[in-house]
Amino acid sequence: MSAIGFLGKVVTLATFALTPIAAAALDAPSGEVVLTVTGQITETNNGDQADFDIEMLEALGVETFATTTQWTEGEPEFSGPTLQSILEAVGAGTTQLRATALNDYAIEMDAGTDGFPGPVIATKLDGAPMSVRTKGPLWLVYPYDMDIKFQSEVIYSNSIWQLRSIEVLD
Amino acid sequence: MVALILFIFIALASVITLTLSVFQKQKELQYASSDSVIWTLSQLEVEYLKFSSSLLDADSHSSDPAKLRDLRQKFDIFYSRVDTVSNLRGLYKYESGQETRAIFGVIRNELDRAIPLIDANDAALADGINQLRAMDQRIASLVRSASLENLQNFVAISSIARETILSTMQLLGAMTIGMMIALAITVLILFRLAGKNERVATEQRHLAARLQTILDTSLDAVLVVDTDGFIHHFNGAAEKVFGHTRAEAVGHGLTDLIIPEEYRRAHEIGMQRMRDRGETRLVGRGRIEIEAMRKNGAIFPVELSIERVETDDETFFVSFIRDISDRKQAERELVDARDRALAGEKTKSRFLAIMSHEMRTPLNGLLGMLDLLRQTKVDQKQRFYIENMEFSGRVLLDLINNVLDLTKLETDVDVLNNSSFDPERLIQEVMASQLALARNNENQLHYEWVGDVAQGVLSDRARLRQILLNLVNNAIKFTRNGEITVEAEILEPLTVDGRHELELRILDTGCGIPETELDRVFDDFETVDNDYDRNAEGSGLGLGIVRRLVRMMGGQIGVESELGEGSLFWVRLPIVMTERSEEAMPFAALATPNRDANLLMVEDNEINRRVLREMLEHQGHTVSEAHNGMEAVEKSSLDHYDAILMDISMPGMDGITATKHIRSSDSPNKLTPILAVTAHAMPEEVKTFIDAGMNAVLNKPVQRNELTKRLNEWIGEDEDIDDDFDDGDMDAEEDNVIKSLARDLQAEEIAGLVGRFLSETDQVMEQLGQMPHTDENRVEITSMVHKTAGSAGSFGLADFHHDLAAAQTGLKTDPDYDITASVLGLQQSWRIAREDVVRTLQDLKITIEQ
Repeated sequence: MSAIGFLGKVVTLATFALTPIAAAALDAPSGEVVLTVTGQITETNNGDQADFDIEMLEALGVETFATTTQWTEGEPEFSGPTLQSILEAVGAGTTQLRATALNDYAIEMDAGTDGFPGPVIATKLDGAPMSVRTKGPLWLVYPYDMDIKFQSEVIYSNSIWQLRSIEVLD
Repeated sequence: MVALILFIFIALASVITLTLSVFQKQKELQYASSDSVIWTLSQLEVEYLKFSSSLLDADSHSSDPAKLRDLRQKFDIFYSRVDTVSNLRGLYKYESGQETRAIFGVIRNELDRAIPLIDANDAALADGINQLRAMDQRIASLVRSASLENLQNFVAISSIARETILSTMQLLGAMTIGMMIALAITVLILFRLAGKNERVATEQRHLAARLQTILDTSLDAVLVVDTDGFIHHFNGAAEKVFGHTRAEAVGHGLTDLIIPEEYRRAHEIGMQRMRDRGETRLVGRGRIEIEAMRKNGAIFPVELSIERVETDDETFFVSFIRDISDRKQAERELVDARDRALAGEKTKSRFLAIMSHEMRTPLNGLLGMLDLLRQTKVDQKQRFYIENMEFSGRVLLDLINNVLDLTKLETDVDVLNNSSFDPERLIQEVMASQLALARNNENQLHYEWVGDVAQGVLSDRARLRQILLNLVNNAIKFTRNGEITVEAEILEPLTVDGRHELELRILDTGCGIPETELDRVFDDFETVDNDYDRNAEGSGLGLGIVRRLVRMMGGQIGVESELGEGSLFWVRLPIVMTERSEEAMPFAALATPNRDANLLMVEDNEINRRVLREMLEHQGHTVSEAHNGMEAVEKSSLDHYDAILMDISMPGMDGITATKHIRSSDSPNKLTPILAVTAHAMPEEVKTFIDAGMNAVLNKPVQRNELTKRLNEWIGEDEDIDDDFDDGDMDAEEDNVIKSLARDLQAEEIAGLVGRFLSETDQVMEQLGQMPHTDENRVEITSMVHKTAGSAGSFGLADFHHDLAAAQTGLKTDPDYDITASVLGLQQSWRIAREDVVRTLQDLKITIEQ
C-alpha cells in the first residue's frame, strides 16, 4: 500500500461524505440500463435486481486516472465509480462477485474492500463515453500502473470489458 | 588459492545474477504481462462466429429490429475483439509477427468499411446486410488463419521463453555445480592448510618444548631480558647460579637482581644509551668476562655473552651467563704454581751462583798462592808445573765467572745504560786487552773498520765491550797459530724510520765449527767437541752470555763456519750515530799503587789473608790484620786506618755487624772507607752491605787490578786513573757509587735506598737549620752530622762527605766553632750533592718516591 493508495482511500471517504444518497433506496434508471446487479443485495429498483444507467453510476462518484493497459495503445485516461461504491450502493452482502460481459465472458472475482486505488467501473475513456466497439459502455479497470499488485494474472482476468451485469454471490 | 577464491566470488556473483534473473522470470510469470492469450485468441473466432451467425439470423429476419440490434452488438463485440487481439502486446514483436499484423490490417479494413452500415438506421442496415455477408465471407478464412498464426506465434514465444528460462536454469545449475566444486576444492585446500597448520603448530610446540628443555638443562644461566631491563626468562641454571627462584626473578629488573652495586650505574647508562640510540657495547661481542652478584650479595666472576632477538614489535636480549669462579680459582692456582716453579728456578740459579761464589774463595787462595810461588826461586820444571796449575786455575775461574755473569744477567734489570762513546776506541781497548792471550796462542790480531769510521755511537758501552771481548776471547781460544780479525761497519737503516746498525764481524782461522753444531753454539753450557783442538778450553757459557747481551740490546747475532778453515761471528746492534764523544783519553797503563796506605784487613781465612796481604804489601801498603768481626771492631777503635777490607762471612761477628759497630761507635774509623771483600756479591746482598755502612764491594777472588782500582777510588789521590782498563769486570767502569750499585741492585732497591737517604738527609738538614745553634745542642748536632757523614760516604758523595767530616771535627774540637755558618755551608754542600744524586738517578732512569 503506497501513499497514493492511502490518498485514494481518503478521496473515497470524501466522496461518500459528499454523496449522502448512498444509503438511500435506488431510484429507477432514467436512461438506458447499462449495468444490472443481482444476488445478495439489499437495495434494488427493479424487482430483485438493481439497474443502473450511466448517470446513476457517475452519480456514485467518479475516479479518474491514466494508465497503460495491455489492450490499448498509449496511456488512456479512465474515469468512473469504484466497484466498491457500486457494491455499497446496492448493499452487497459480500465482495464475492460474478461479473458477466456482453460477449458472455464471465468471471468470479473478489472485489476486495478497497476503494480507490482499486477496481473502477470506467464509464469514460479519455473523457468520452465508450461504445461496445471500444470495450464499452462499462469496463472494469484497475489503475495498473499505480501498483504492482494490479499487474497479476488474476487482476487481468478481472479486468472485464463490455461489463453488463454483476451477481453478488453468497 | 587466490585464483580459486576469485573464481568462487565470480561464480557467486554469477549465481546471484542468474538467480535474480530466474526470480525476474518467475515474477514475469507471476505478474503476467499478457492476459490469457489462449482465451483471447479463441474468443476471436468465437465472437466472429457469433457475429457471423447473428448476421445470418438478421439476413433471414431483416425486418426484426431486435435481430438488427443483436447484429450491431455482435459486430461491436467482434470489432472490439479484433482491436484487442491486434493490439496484443508482445505477440507480434518478433519477425513473423508482421504477417499476422498484416492479416489483422485487412480484417480491420473490412470491418471499418462496414461501420457506416452498422451505425446506420435499421432500414439502411437491413438493406446492407448483403454487403455485410459478402464481407463476412471475405474475412472468414482470414480470421481462421489469423487465429492459427496467432496460436503459432504464441507457441513460438512460449517456447522461446521456456528455452530462455531453461538455458538460464541450466547455466545456473552449471554455475552452481562449478561453485560447489570450487567450494569443495576450497574446503579441501582449507583442510590441507588446517592440517599443515596443525603440523606446524605441533612442530612449534615440540620445538618450544625442546628449547625449554635445552634452557632448563643448560649449565649456563640463561636470561631473557627486554629493553627495559625486565627479566622474562630465568632458567634452572640461573636459579642455581644466582640463588633467586624463577618466580622471584621473572618480571623483576635485571639491575637490582644480579648486577653488583658498583656496576649498576654504568649498566643503567648503557641500557639508556641502547634505548635512545640503539647502541650496544656488549651485545654480540662474544664472550665477555665481568662480575655478577648472587642473591646473598656475593660478587663472583662470570663469562657472559648477549645476543639481540628482534620480534615484530619488541626487542629482547638473550644472555648466557657462566659462573667462572672455579675457572678463575684454577687460573689463580695455576699462576701460583707457575710462580712457585719460577721461584724454584730462581732458587736453583741462586744455589748455582752461591756454589760458584763458594768455589771462588778457595780458588782465590790457590791462584794467589801460585802467584806467590812463582815469584819464589823455582827451577824450570817447577815453573812449568806452576804455570800449568795456574792455567787450569784460570780456566776454572773463567768458568765460575761466566756462571756468575749469567746469573747476574738473568737477575739483572733489563735497563740499558746508554752513553755516547767512540766505538773504534772501544774495539782497540778490547783488542789490546786480548793481545797477551793471543800471543800465547801465537795468533795475530787485526782490526779493520769498513767504510766511514763512526765518530761516536749511542749504546751500552759496557755490554758492547763484553760482547766483543767474549767473541774475541772465544776466537783466540779456538785458534792456534792463526789470525783473528775484527771488522766493524756502520750499516745504513734499511727503512726510512729504521735505525743505524753497528755490525761487528769476528773472523778467525781456527778449527771451525761443524755444521751440525752451528745451531747450538749459543746455547748455555754447549761446547764444541774438543776432538778438533784439545787445547781449547771453555765453559760453554761465553757465547750464551753474548747472545743474551745482544738480545738485551735489541740486536742480532749469527755465525758462519767452515770446518778447519775458521769461523765468522757477526753481531748487529741498533745504535744512534752521535758526534765524537768527549772521551779521548789515552790508554792507561797498568794501575799502580798511588801511595802507602795504612790498611786493616779483616779475614778469617788464613790463606786469603796471606794472599791479600801479599798483594797489598806488594803495592806498598801497610797491612794490619783482624781475624773476625770482634777483632776488627777492637782494632778499629784503637787506631785510625785509611781503609778497611772487610770479609763478610766470619765466625763470631760477621763483617756486616762489625761494620755497623764501627760506623755507629765513636771510633777513629767511623768515617773510614770500608770495602767488603766477599764471594757473596749477589745483588741483593750488596744492598745489605751498603745499608750496614760499607762503601764498596770487592769480589773474591781478589784481582790485583780491581783491588788497586777500588783502593784508588777511596783512598787514592790520583782521581784521573783510567777506569776503563779492566779485565772484563763490568763494575769496574763506574766511579759513581750509585751507578755501581745500579749494576748489582734492582732499580726499586736503589730507589728505596737512595730515596731514604735523600729524605733522611733532607730532614736532617732541615732540622739542623731550625734547631737553636747553641752549646746545649752541640752534642746532638754532632751526632746528626756524624750519621749523615756515614751515609754520604756510603753513597760516595766525596765533597759533601768531606764537608761533613770537617764540620764534625770542628764541632768536636773547636769551642768557638761557628755552628750556624757551618750548617749553612753544609746545606749548600748538600744541595750540590743532592743534585748530583738526582742527576745520577735520572741517568739510570730510576725514579724515586719522595
